[in-house]
Amino acid sequence: MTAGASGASEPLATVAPEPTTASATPTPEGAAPGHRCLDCGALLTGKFCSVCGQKDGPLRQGLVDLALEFFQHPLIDTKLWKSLVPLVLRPGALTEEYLAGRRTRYVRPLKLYLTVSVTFFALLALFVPEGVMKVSVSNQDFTKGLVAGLKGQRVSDEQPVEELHLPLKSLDERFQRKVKALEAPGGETLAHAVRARASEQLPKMVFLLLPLSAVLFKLFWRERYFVEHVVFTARAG
Amino acid sequence: MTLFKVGMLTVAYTMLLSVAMLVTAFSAVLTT
Repeated sequence: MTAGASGASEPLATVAPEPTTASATPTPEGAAPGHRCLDCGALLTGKFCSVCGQKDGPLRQGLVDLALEFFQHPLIDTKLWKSLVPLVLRPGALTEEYLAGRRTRYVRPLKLYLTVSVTFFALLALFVPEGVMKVSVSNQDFTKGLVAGLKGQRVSDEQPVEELHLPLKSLDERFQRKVKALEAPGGETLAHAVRARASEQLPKMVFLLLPLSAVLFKLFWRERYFVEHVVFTARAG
Repeated sequence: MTLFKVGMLTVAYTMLLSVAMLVTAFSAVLTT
């Protein structure tokens, strides 16, 4: 998990340093003489590499560039299969490749993250029956477990769960109403709706965890740029 | 040092996931 962020992984493929284009004197249209493509090592003759198509840019990208990549490249192409295998086997090495400037040969990080996430949740919704995901607890146990979980307590029959109060009065009143409705005799329908609602919100929470995880990584590895942590968490997530 | 960092990160990440689950549960109860 930390291999990519700590820089311990080796690149997946060794890039040949020799130029693959025949032009010895590149035209200086957006590229300095002798400037090579970060991905394939070919001599650049313009803003884009004539061999692999990667845009000439700095080795370290900003967050804006990373976000713009999401809109500038096709969602699914043949690179997807080339990216999926190392993503599963060596996600840290895939991150190292990106940070080393070899970006065109793989699907861009945020695009791959979105593609895999959407596919996962779509397959989950299509093929996993609702009964498998449903936790078979009684209505009373559900309410008790929920309130105890929110308070960080363990549920036991001997020790009744204390009432939980939220700091904001309006939220607390609303919460108490919901808890009473859940505990009421006909609260099984509401309990089912709460479970369904939580399942709906889970994908959103997973997407929100991406930048939060990057912030967490930044706290522990401050020598790395934040955008590098975003790339790593997108690959590892 | 790296092992210490990984351990601390694991603890912090577990706490983050716990908070995320709490927020999801609260949100589900309050918005249903």
